[in-house]
Amino acid sequence: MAIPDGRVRSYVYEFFVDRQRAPDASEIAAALTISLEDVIETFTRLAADRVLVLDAHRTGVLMAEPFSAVETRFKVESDGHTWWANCAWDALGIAAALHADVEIQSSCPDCDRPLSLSVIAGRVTGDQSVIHLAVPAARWWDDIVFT
Amino acid sequence: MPRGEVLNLEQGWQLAYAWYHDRLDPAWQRWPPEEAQRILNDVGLTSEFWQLGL
Repeated sequence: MAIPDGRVRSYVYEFFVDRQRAPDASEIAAALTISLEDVIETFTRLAADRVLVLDAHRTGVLMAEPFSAVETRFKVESDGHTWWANCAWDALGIAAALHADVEIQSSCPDCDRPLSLSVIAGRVTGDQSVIHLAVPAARWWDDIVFT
Repeated sequence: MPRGEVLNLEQGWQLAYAWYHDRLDPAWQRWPPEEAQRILNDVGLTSEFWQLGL
């Protein structure tokens, strides 16, 4: 039986928060008692709506922004848990989404210098780095992985 | 690569908070483009770079 797409979306996010990784389609199917085909079809609709970003096979989650399913340059730690963010904006976004204090470890994409940031009690502190966005807003979704 | 735009940490945090603070709400839905543009505008990101091309 089909369930609302939003329930699948919500489960993906719950899983990211609890397990620090993306659920695979079979885990979603089992948890929500729907078929694997229903999960894949829901993935396709959520990706079309830019709610999830799918992997190259279109059968798994690559990004549930701000979370990344794969290791990136942006490591976010909170309360003993580690997540990966898609970019610097998303690393801060994990703190915003969790409403939690976080430590962010990254490195300069230009010179590889390690960078460390903290969000504590809703305030960001750390290396006086900057966030560089290369792609204009109107073209973010032309290639969201590059963006 | 185009030069793009640079945000300082405080601007980055303001943007991240505005964009993501309610993302874990089970009822969250992708905003219409006008709402996304409003979020950008509200944190002061109003230059051509930040226009979503509605």
